[in-house]
Amino acid sequence: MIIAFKSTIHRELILVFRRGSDLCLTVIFFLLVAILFPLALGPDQRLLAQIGPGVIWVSALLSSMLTIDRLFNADFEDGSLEQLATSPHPFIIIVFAKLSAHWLTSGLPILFFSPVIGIFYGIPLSSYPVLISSIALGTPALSMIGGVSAALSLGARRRGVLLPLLALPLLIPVLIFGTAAANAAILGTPVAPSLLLLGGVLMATLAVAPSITSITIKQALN
Amino acid sequence: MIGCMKFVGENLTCNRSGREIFSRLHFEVGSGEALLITGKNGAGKTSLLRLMTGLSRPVTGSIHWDDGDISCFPERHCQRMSYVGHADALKSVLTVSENLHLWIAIRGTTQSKELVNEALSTYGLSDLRDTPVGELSTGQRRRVALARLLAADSLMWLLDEPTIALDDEAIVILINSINQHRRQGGMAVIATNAPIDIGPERLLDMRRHQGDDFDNSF
Repeated sequence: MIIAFKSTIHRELILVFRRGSDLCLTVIFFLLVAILFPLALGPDQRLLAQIGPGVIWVSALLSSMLTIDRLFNADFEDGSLEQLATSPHPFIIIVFAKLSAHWLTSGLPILFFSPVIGIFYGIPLSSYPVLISSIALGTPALSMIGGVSAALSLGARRRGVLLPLLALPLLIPVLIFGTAAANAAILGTPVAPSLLLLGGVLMATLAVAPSITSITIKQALN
Repeated sequence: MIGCMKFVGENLTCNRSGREIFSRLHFEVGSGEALLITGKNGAGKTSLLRLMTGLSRPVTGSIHWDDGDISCFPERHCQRMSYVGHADALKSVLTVSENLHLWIAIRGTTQSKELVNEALSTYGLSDLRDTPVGELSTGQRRRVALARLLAADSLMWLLDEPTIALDDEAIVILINSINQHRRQGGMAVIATNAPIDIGPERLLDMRRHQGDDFDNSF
């Protein structure tokens, strides 16, 4: 079972690195969106520091949704998903591995680049640990929830429109608690409640999302 | 490979979006046997194969091995069978051998380089080992998909129109490998409309199992 998990992650990572564009796309999109805001709002230091965490979080959310569409649909179209679903392991393990691989190739790069954006916005250095831990807790939840939406939209026409409509409302709690934690750190108010709630959301999605996703995919393959 | 096994379907009915495709269908395959499913387009050949894989469930009836229903032990069932469907299930950015190796790794069967190399050379793909699948022709991709069967070493092969896009040489290779597989106690279920000569086989003609509204047309 662990072998199946490892092999699936291995496969996903090879595919992403071989294609290359997915990884670059996520990072460049993340940086670009975050850089657009100061250009539109003007160079007001205080305003930028205030909206910084919110901008980082919205950019993270949008850019991690950028590649979620391909996560199951590419395999669905070329028949690989059928092969994965008939491999002699619980399908949920393979689905969980794919979701984890999505985080490794979208959430993790975002995590690395978010301090760069933090510097652009002049976010005080003291609040970085909280900002980064909120992103570390939140982005895996984005991948999990995005995976459920990707599975639900599998094989549908106009998937490109359907997928964000399904996913974005579900991602709102992550966005609220994530920005709340980072803002609290900047203002010096207690950060624990927001971080704990964010952790709670992560735990809940880790527990529920893989099983819903695998059931939904099996339904789509039926 | 396991000695004497039987794979049986009883009283199967299959619906697709509310319409009955076939009903009262029985089949049986034993070790060393092949089951050839024939029937016109839309008769439910692919639907029946997908029931056999466990990807979809029959409306009535059951499909089982000697030791239990496939829906009760899906993992054991998947361990025993390999399915080659219409789609080749190959990744175009990966090379031929990477495709096979990664697939075997996820199946968790004992990793064996020799087995993969042997499978590739059987299908005449040795020279293309390090070529990305995206650069192959349709027929070559089909060969890679079929080479997977040899590399996976499972008891039952489920093949959906395996001869499509294959040249005469590759069809001979396919037939030889099916016969070799059967001699070793394996079984094969083949849905096809192309004449394919694989020696003694069981025949299943889908025409006899179609719903009442179909019967008038014959």
